[in-house]
Amino acid sequence: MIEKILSKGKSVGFSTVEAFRIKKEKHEYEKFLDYNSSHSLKSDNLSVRAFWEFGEPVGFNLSKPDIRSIKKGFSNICSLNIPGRKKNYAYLLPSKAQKVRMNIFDDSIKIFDIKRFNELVEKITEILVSFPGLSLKGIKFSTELKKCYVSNTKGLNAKYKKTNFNLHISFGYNNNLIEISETETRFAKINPFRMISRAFNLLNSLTDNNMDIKKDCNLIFSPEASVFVLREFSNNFCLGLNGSFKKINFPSVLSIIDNPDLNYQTGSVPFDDEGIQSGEKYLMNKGILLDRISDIKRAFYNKKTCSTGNGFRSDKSIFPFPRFSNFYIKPSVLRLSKLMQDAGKGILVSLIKLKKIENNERIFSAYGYRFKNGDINEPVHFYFKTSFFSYFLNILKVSKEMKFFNINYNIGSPYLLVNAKHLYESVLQI
Amino acid sequence: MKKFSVDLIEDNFFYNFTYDSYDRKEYIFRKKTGILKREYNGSWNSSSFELNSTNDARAYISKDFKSSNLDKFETNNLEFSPGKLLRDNEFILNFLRSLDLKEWKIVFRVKSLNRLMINNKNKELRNIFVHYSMIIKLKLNGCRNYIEIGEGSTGSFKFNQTGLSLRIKDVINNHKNQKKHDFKAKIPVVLNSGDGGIIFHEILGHSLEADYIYQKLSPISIHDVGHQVISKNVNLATKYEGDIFFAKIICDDEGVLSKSSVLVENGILRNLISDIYYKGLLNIKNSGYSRVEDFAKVPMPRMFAIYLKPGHYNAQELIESTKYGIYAKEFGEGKTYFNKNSFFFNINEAYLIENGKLTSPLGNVIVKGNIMEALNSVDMVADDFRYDKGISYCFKNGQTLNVRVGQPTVKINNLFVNRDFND
Repeated sequence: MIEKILSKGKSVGFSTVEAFRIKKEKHEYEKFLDYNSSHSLKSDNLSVRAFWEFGEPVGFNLSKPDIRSIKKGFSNICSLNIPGRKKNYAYLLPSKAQKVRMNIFDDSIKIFDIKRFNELVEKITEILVSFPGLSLKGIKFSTELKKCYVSNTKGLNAKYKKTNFNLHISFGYNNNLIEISETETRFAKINPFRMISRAFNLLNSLTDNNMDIKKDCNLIFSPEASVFVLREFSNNFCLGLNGSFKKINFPSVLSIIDNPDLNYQTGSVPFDDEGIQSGEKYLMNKGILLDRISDIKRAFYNKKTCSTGNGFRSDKSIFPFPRFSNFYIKPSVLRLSKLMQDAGKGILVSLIKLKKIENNERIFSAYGYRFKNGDINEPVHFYFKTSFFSYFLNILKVSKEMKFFNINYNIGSPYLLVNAKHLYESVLQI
Repeated sequence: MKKFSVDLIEDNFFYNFTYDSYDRKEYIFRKKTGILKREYNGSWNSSSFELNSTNDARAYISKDFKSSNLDKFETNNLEFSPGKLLRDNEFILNFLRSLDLKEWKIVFRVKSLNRLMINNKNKELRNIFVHYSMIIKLKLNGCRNYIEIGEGSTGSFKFNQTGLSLRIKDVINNHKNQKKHDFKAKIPVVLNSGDGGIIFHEILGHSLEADYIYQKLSPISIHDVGHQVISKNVNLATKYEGDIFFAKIICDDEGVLSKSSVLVENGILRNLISDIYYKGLLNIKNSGYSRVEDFAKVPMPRMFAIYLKPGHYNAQELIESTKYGIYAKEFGEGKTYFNKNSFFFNINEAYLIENGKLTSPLGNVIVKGNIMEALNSVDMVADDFRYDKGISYCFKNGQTLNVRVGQPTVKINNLFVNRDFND
């Protein structure tokens, strides 16, 4: 089929044609009080991007494509007559992809059914008994099998398959509601106990009492809190989006990586949706900013020689755009206990919410626990103000323990020890 | 609840053409066809399949079904010519080129949605929705984000280019000349007629959705039906005579037509926004508000259109009666947080009201408040009812839908105004 698509494109006058086909099988299960539902989806989607000699590409997307609809698709984009006069980026499309073996597929997806979902619900209900006050509001579970194929008229012909398991639980506690979600490529890695403990910890830290801060303070960001800030500033690591990229020296403990080549991670792929293969990319190495992620189009417009292999399509987009694969702060060899020991006392930040954006600065509302001499004490609430540069400049230490969270893309962080200055009332400046 | 089943067969087209300040043109089109089969038998089971053509749906639907409608289904008669769009909209393009902007982008879109619902009695119902839009994205000097201004229509690509250029001019001037104000206490906010209705969609419409009520997330409870729980100045309906926006949508995505269009009458809660399932769970009379983005997803209670009915004040009286407050003219995105009974809204063009007169431009501000307090603080409703500009969208549980809102100028007391997001 793919060969026919490419040759059809050539025959109607396009100089380069790319075809991206994705077949999905998805099953969703939901339980909310008396509401029980299951939904299954089978889809087969084709996205075509076609280039004339000059000008921007044109494209179309079809569900369950066949030769007739593909012909119609090409005749539609051919009739437009909108080629430009400028050189385009078709020459940057890859001509081959090497075979990569990657552990992102779990065979157990075939045997998952409503019975196993009910077992999962029972397990969660059982674990909840150990967390008094925490109530279960709803559970959603989904399994997804994805098969991707990318080909182009330059000779590329590559494919891979991948599984994803997502568990989403809503909890209530003292009139607060929290939703916790975990996505894994292997079912065995979904850990309801870890999710419930995480929810309990987060809900317990939600205090309305603003902390009375009088002086500068050490903060230890949990992986979850750190990931929130990292995501907020992630545009600075993305070519063609907002954000500045100055060559300044950040602390040498800090290295930031995008790596699609990690086993079992949800952001892992052997190649991106344009067929570009990449591995570990240091966006910041030992405090030095090195690179930003890009797809072929942004690389071309920003006069870069090649894409970083981060061109991905969303469910609704026909053309790729830059997105991280597994994006994370590189862990060190220090344990969390060492960070707490070095800090002496301070706040262990567990939950962060964005409150305000002012030019390049952001104000976050933060919840966490005071700690002193290794002991974790009462919950506190405070605010902190920071910018991309000042945040990363004030990171003192990075821990060994590392966690990934899937929020649009896979993003990870270890614990971070950060220096914060007292600004006024319960507001700190990082 | 009784056993129930419905098949939804869908054929949709989407065309998108983007032209930007760098003279780049990008064109895409998408065709998606498929079937969603749903069945309730103690619990819901549904499955979606993509199809090459609607005729292929026969393999999935009941053998008793003899409709010939499937053959006539593919009705893609839409005309979408990027070259013609650029020629027809030369006025607005030249206007954009003449402005001192960091960047601009113009997006032309047309979406056509064709649905056939077949319920367990083999009753067939057909919905058609075609939506044309032109959205202009502006990046002002010194601003990080795009400001979006646009128009949508269910008829054709004919838009009011002069009106759009004036709106763009006003937004740019408002941002250029903005003066920063610190509003420490709650103040009155006068919402412009038309698009301002999106606030009622967010804070009242969603509060009336049966799934949120059943899950006890909404600040409104089932026991509130029949009682006055919000300001008596609020009259909310799902139909407004003469509006043709959803004219070819005759039923919801379960094949049900709502029996009543009244949601709130003089502050008294009359009906909820429900689908068949929640109607049964909550033991209410009305459904007809089940919607789904496309056949690959699961439907849920959603709004089509909501209209705040006009009152008897002149719009100018609302501003004149305000000593110190703001006038919200152009609206951006907003969000409702049911767990905190709060909401926030971006206002892209706002003005300060001092002693009954519009004074300083304020640029972009955020209006926020407590849902029930805001609904009980609807102080004055004018008589200048208008529909939105045709590009209102609603996001819920990962699904985006076109919605329609309409309202006259409205004054709500007790809202916070600043540049913060909600905590």
